[in-house]
Amino acid sequence: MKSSTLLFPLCTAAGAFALAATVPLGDPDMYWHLASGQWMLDHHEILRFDIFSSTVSGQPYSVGEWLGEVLFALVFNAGGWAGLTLFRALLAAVAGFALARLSRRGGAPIIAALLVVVWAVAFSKTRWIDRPAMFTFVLFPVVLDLLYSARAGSRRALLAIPPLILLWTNLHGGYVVGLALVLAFTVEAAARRQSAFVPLALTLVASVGLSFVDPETFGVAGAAAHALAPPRFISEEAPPDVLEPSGVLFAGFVLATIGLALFRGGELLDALLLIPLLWLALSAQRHLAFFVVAATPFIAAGGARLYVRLRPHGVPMRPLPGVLSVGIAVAFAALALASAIGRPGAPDEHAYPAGAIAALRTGTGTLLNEYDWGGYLIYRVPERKVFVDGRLFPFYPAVLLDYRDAVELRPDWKGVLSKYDVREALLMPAKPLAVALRESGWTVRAEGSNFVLLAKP
Amino acid sequence: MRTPLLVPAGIGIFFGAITTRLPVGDSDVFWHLVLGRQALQGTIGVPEAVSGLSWTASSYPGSTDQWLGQAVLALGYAAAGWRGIVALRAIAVALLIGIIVYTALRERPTRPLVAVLAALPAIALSRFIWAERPELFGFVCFALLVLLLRAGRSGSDRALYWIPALILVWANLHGSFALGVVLTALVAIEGAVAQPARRRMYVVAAIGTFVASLLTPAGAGTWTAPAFHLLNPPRQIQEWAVPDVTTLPGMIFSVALLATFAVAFLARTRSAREAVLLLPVLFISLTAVRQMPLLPIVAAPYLAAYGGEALSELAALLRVRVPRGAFTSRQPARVVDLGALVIGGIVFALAAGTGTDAPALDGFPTAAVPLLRAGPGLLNQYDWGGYLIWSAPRTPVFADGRLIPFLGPVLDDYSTVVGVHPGWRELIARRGIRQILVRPSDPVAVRARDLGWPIRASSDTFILIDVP
Repeated sequence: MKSSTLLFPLCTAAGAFALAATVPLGDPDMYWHLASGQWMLDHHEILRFDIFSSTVSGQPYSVGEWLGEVLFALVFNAGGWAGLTLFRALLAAVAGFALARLSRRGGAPIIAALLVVVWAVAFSKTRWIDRPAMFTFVLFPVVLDLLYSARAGSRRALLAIPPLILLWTNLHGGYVVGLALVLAFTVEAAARRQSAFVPLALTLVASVGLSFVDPETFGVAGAAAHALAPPRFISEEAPPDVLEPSGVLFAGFVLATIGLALFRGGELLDALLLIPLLWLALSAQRHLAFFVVAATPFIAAGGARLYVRLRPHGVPMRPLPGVLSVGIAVAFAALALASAIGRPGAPDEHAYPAGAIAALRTGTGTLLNEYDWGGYLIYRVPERKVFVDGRLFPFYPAVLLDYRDAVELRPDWKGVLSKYDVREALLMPAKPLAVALRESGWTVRAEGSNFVLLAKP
Repeated sequence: MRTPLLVPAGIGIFFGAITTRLPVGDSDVFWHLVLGRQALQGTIGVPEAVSGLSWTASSYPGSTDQWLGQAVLALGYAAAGWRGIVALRAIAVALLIGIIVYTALRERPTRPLVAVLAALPAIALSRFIWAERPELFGFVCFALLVLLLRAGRSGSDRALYWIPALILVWANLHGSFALGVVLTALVAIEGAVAQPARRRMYVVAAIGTFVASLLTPAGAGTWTAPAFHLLNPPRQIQEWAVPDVTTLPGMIFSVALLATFAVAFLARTRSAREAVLLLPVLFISLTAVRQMPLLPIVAAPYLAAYGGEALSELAALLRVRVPRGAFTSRQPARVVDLGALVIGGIVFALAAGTGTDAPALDGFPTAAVPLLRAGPGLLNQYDWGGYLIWSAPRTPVFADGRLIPFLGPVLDDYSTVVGVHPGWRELIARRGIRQILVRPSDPVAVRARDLGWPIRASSDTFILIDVP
């Protein structure tokens, strides 16, 4: 590949790295992923049963992300919180690189590609998280870019896909979207290009086969069930709100896609890719990025053609002079370096009940905790078992229903507390249960602006 | 080519007649009727301090938007009781669906099956707005606007001139008129650029539309409610929640949305002009559950116009042969159209005359009404406010579905007490709440039972608690 064609993806990668490196860690699920990975490293086996909770202790479960958890733990052991921040930034850089390459797949000039990529990166920033799902946000554009390469004639690109799917399957449950990408290109090849069909079909078969090589996968059916019935009480599983900042950016992609499709039409592949991904995006916020990434080449190419149509005598873009290209590359590299040096050294834990940790360590009995704090407590107070945490599946549905009945003060809240013999409750002060327990004479063991730790008298 | 009326009228009347068998009981219909009755008595926008509907929003100056829609409902009730409301709802549904199908059929007059298929998502999704309130009239106006805008764009000056008149009625019927004004402006701008010879028509339509929107009792103030609702949708109210494509209405919405995308990608004919209508409506329809039906309505004629092309393209790709002229039909004569209208009208009148004649009150606290104390002091479930305004006029409500009078402190206090948040008992004392009428599963009901507060009455639906 020519160095000029690499400049744009490299600069995008550096920009994404610089942006991601400045955002502090703090995802509530990061902590239990780290704890799980650490346990697997310590015990040299895959964690297949619950060791963190009091409610489902010892019960088998799978979140399908063992390798992702191990990798995160390895990185943490090697570089601490700063290492994790840089690792996430590195993943964002890879995603940015692939996104930039994708943006020019439709033949878009660099200025159009740049505008769409900046827009997509601004959106993606809201999805750069500190857990194995990040691997999906990286591998999705990478696999899509490889498929476009294969569509353009590169059979070698296809060879990379099954191993990537194998890796993805063990890293995170989002690999199913990767299989869907391969399927879309295969269907298109079957309809339009007979010669490309066989290699793509073989790639699909190999990818599907390798996706079963995972010691703890919850499978395609599990992923489909999750997509069709997302647990709405988790904020990232809620439908997207187009009046919120990230929703506005997403809506822009949707409107641009349909607008450009009306203006210049599309191909069968566009329909096969973007229509299912649009539905998926509308089903839950966590899936928005798939549509944004997949729509990037279509919007960049379509936007450029619209510009030419509207301004047929406009100034055409000329390639940048070599000196300027080098200058831009150096500037982006310096920016990435500066961000790496100035990275946050510790997670942002202001939303967590840090002030309750000392009291928790000396407390006893079953602890009822806020769902969002479960992961944090697993990591910070390992001596206390949690009631629920972000692993979701082990608690679904029985424990989660009990948890909701108690915390939201449903009619059987007292029955739930006695069923689990709850001795302490760590809640947000505004929760109805916190109010009711205070009124019922539970003692306050620790209190802050965002938490209260109550103990049964 | 003339667009036949047989199919649109038949389908519209069919669904309108069906609605006469459905129950009445929208939680908002009751307060709309009360305000409509005031409007018929010549008092639009009665200050809350005078009307005494609620005891928490006495400084609210009164609402004038929707006055005409409320007056129409009140007229229906005055004429024939609940059967009059049912008849109005049936007429509105018949008009809505008839116009949707007609607009689609207008694009393919000889292909009624294609038009009906294109309109199917809109018809199906409209089921969720068959409610007896002014919002339904707003949807009828929207469907009519789409028809007029498309007709105007394809050369009918008369259609353009009718738009300001439509907006004049719409602005007094329901707050959704704002979308109509914006769409008209966008179509006018696009039309003025694409058709310079008709520029004056477009300018007149756009300006006339805007001026017409101001001819309401509130004047320019009539724009405040739509703007507020668009930018600050009250998400805690179900119909203002974010659209969810995993629910039944969301899936129907998805069909329209994804079909629109598929046709845009696959149809050979480029249709950039459609973006002027489709894009803004798509965005609005994504903002809240209650806006979802807008997209299928505006997409129906687009799907009818270009869906066949897209399907042909797909069939060619899949090497499936579609016979030429499939699904075409001969145009019926005018007399057939007329006959269909007459027969449909008779069927419709029979259905409306024998339709539902009482509201379904299963979900309301009917047994609690006689036990409510007169005067201020009741904290009621938000969803029951309208019903209590209607059935217990001596007991003003804490809050009801009118929403805007209660935004801010009233709804904040309501949430604090009903949700048992910190300070809930102090609020009860400070507000002077004497009775609480909520659902048995509401935290305040659970807590009141725990505390042994006197329970005046309870059922599976409600619990009425006296505050000690």
